[in-house]
Amino acid sequence: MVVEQLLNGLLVGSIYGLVAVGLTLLYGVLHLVNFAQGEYFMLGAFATWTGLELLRLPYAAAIVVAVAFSALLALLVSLTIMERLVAKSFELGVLATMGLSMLYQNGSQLIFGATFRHFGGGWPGLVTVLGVTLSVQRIVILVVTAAAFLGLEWMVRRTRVGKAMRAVSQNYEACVIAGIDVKRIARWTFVVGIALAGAAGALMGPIVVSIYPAIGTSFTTRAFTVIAIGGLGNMTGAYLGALILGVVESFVVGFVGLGYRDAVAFLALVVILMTRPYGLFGRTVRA
Amino acid sequence: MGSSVERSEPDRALRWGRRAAPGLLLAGRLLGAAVAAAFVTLPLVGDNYVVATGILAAIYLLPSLGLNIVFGYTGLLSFGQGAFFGIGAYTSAILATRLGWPFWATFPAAGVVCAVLAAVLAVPSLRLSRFSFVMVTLGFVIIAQTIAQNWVGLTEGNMGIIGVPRPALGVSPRRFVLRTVQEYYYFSFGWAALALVAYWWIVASPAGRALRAVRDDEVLAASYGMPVNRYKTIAFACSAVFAGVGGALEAHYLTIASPSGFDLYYTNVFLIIVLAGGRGSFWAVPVATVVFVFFSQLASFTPEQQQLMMGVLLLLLVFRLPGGFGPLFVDLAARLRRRLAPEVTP
Repeated sequence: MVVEQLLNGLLVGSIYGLVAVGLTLLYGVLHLVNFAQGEYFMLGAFATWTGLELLRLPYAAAIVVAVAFSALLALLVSLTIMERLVAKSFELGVLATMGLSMLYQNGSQLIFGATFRHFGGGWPGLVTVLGVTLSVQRIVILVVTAAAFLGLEWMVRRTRVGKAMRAVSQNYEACVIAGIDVKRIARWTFVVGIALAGAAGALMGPIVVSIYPAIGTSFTTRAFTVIAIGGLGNMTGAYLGALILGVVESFVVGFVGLGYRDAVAFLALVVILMTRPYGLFGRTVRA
Repeated sequence: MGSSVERSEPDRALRWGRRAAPGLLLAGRLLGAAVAAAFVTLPLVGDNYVVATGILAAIYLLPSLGLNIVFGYTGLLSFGQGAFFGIGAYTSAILATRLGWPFWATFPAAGVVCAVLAAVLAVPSLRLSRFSFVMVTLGFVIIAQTIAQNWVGLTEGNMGIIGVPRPALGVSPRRFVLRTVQEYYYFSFGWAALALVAYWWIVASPAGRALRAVRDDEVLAASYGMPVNRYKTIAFACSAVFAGVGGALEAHYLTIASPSGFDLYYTNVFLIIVLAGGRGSFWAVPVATVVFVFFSQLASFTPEQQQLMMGVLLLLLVFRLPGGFGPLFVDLAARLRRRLAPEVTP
């Protein structure tokens, strides 16, 4: 029972991490928030569902379609909306992305209907590792998330784009003066984050089994909690924070009750913001 | 001023303004009187649906005015209105059904409970960043809804509190219970008028000026010795009182208080009303409330279509009209005035 709850928590936490990493990148690099983050998870899930049910694609191909769709959409939204919010007041970012979230949610509701859609597909085969039996789907999620975080960490530390991202996060004006194409960095940051959120939706579909247009909201709130636990802009912190949140939620559901699950994230968020605004692992407050 | 060699443009404009001022003032008063008369006579001419829409406008007016105080005049983006709206509804509903308190006790109690909660919430969250304040107020809505759904002993859980009594005027032998929509319309009209007076009193007071100073330049205000955080806390508490009384007004109208009262839909609606009218603009927010409610109720859109339009409107407001529609009309009036007095053209 305890091991089961723990594994379940790690799995859900991994998904939270995939959704939240884009948010922490966006805040860390550009000091932008995105209240539509969870909607990209939802759109990723619906794009995969469309690939599976309407285009009759195999699951792997449907995932690729969904991630490509998410990236394209992110590019479009970045060009039209997100880049114009850089270096603007914080409130404008909140309100604009809230508007986007309403568009996505109600747009999907008009297209797909407000009802639950059964999500087939996935890799249900079972594998036993060290006496614990897991479905292939779950193993894929755990591995993909860990790989994504390692890859991003490498990108930020080693590649040219990653270095530019860190430079922008440290001093925006100096980067503009030094001739770094800040808009391009913003675009890259946003597209990578959204593609991962879309991938999270594609991978989580078979686990939640039924999807609906309002499914993203709870992931937005989780993502904000995750980045607050990890320290805003801290990627490793976000990964650990996501796993912690997933496990805590899983134990709350197991031992307290399902009804309190949604409050856990926000309670954690409020407590963290009030007591450790730089996150559980951070040392300093970002300027 | 004084004996000028030649009349400058501003001087002439001033002269025109002085000459036209009594007329403009009269026109403004006539317009105000016409609008007030329209609202007073609405139940006599409109059908029940229109009257019910009028009640809804009065209910939505209170949280929107509160939001304008905290967001428009003080510059603090708060998602808390939806939470206080729901808490006010529950407070009044519980006191009325369990303890049998009359409305003139439960409505103020709803406001007091919300003010206390707001002050408790504000003290720690305002010390931190703007990000923290936004997230804490948003989190507060979700937590309040979860409590309403799960603390069955107090709130009856997802069922909600049913049978919230309609308010009664007068004392025991001569009680007059407001049963029809027309009667409730006048009741909520009274609360809306009271709220407008309180709103005017807050905004026009020296404290209101201090709020605007905090919004425009927090550091400067602090350097003049203004207790910035205390003013922010007061503004937040005021916004909570308005939202709480608005929630009570809704609960006694629908005769139910349920967890759906905490839906983020309400928070979004109040935000859009304030943004569309023009944050920090006195008359724009009441006007926007009435326009929004009547438009959304009388035009038959599905909830999805309505929220889709709200999303588009939000993006439009952020990128094209950050000041809202209110200033647009002020500009129009100014242009009209220039047309009327061509000699003042710059």
